[in-house]
Amino acid sequence: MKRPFSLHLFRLAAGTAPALLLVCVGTLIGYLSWRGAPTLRLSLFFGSTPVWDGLTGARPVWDGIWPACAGTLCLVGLTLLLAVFPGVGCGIYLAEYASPAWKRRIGGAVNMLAGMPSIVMGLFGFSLILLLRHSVAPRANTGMLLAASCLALLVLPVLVATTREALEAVPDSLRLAASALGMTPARRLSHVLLPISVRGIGGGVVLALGRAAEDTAVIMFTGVVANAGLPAGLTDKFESLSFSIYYTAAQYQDQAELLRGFGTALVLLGISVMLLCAARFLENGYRRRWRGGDA
Amino acid sequence: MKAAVEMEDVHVAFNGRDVVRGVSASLPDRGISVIIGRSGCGKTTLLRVLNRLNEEFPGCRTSGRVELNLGAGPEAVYPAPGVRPRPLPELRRLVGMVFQSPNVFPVSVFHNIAIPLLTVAECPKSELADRVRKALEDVGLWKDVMERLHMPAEHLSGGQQQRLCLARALALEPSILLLDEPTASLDVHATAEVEELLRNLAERYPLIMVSHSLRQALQMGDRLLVMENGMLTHRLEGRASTTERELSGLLGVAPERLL
Ligand SMILES: Nc1ncnc2c1ncn2[C@@H]1O[C@H](COP(=O)(O)OP(=O)(O)O)[C@@H](O)[C@H]1O
Ligand SMILES: [Mg+2]
Repeated sequence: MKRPFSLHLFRLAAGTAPALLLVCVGTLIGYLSWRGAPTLRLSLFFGSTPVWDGLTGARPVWDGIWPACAGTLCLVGLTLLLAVFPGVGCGIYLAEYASPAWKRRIGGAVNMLAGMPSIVMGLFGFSLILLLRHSVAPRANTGMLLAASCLALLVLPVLVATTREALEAVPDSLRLAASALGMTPARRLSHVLLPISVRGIGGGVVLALGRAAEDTAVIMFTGVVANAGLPAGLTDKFESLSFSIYYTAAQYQDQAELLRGFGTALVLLGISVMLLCAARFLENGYRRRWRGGDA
Repeated sequence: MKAAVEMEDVHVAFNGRDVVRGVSASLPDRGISVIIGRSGCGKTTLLRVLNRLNEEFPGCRTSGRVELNLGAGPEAVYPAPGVRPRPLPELRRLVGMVFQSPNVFPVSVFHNIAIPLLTVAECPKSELADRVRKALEDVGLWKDVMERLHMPAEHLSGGQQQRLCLARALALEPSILLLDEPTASLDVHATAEVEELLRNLAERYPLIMVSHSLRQALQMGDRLLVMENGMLTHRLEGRASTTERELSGLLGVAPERLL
């Protein structure tokens, strides 16, 4: 049987798309590595400060990115701490408990939040501080907690959507089987539905993680600065890798500084991959507990 | 002989549409009661009346009197003025159910039985391994899986999965077993195995089974209930008194299969 031409075209397109993707990702990482890898030395992280002193914050690090690394890690951690519980909780509510009317309302609100540009979220955080200053807390200022809260708001929709999808993908027959065994809705959720959908929920957490690590627009308005040293407290200014890259790209004075910018980008990529692996590792451990064997 | 199930004028409607209309029956606590009827006549719904599983679906209304003997004499299952039935989880633990297609949880073989044991029967952790083993032995699966307890249950064959579903229900020590076309999705060989197992189980539990095959209904049923359009139209007691031809005449379908 002769295949129609359109089918050939379709196949060609379908084959080209992944190839294109691989080429793009390869080029990106290749270029970053080519420019950035030579700068990956301890001096990139600590400048001229002795490593141990810089690491612990005993002496300030002036021309290294270690404070920015620490800042990014703290920021991402705090963001997840703030976002995972409400995000996953809201997803569970939408998938399991909400009536169709509430599903529509809350789902709409979440979609709206998802469509919000991050710069708007940053401005929102900034105006919140202004509002606080002019009302109850005249000494309120931007800082880590505010930045993490705004970031949490930014990644919340991702968590809600992935949790909801993961739960809704569980076949009804399994829900019915669990109920028929006499499980209460709460037990059914905690012992059957969540273990089954942990892969999807974990995927959402990883996505949220990535977004929190790369975002600059939000934190620019809410507390990031170019030089703050190691993160000191919830209300203090902080440094972050994403902002440091942005800042370098905009203000570099010589070629060496630009190359350090590439190095920083490579480090950010590395940290993201590391966090991703950590999330997958936790998730696999959890799955293995339930599934056993080759999960 | 005592009755395991007593139903009087049971009606079930989904969104105002009557699916079961006025079923009354008394089923003894020995042997296998088989319900047959054309597809869509309400067999599954009738079976779900007994463990109140219809209530999991929106728009369902059940009326009528249903009494089960769950070990302490006949007791009402549905709330009525002056009647406080057992809580749902407890009722469903005592009325085991196996579905048409095997619905094992996508977790390990061990956890498939352990999860209900822990969450429903509040089995102490120290007894867990023993009770999982006993349930698997009850369905003849222990020898097949004792070395692979921690592999995903979906890797079992269809027949083994269906037996695992039975084991999952049996582990909770039910008083009655409901089976909704338990062999409909199995091949000939697995069907024979599951039928054999059910015959053995019938010596210990009252079994109420919906069957999709006249052959199976006649070979296994100690009594047959013929259902049509939401009502019980015939009841045949005792085995081998009927032929497939007569039975299919009652149902008005070709003798081989009902589906
Ligand atoms: N959850 C439900 N919601 C609405 N209608 C249902 C539901 N379950 C069953 N029905 C309807 O009830 C009728 C009988 O269904 P069922 O009891 O599954 O039949 P059988 O098991 O005899 O094939 C069918 O017409 C079906 O559409
Ligand atoms: Mg059915």
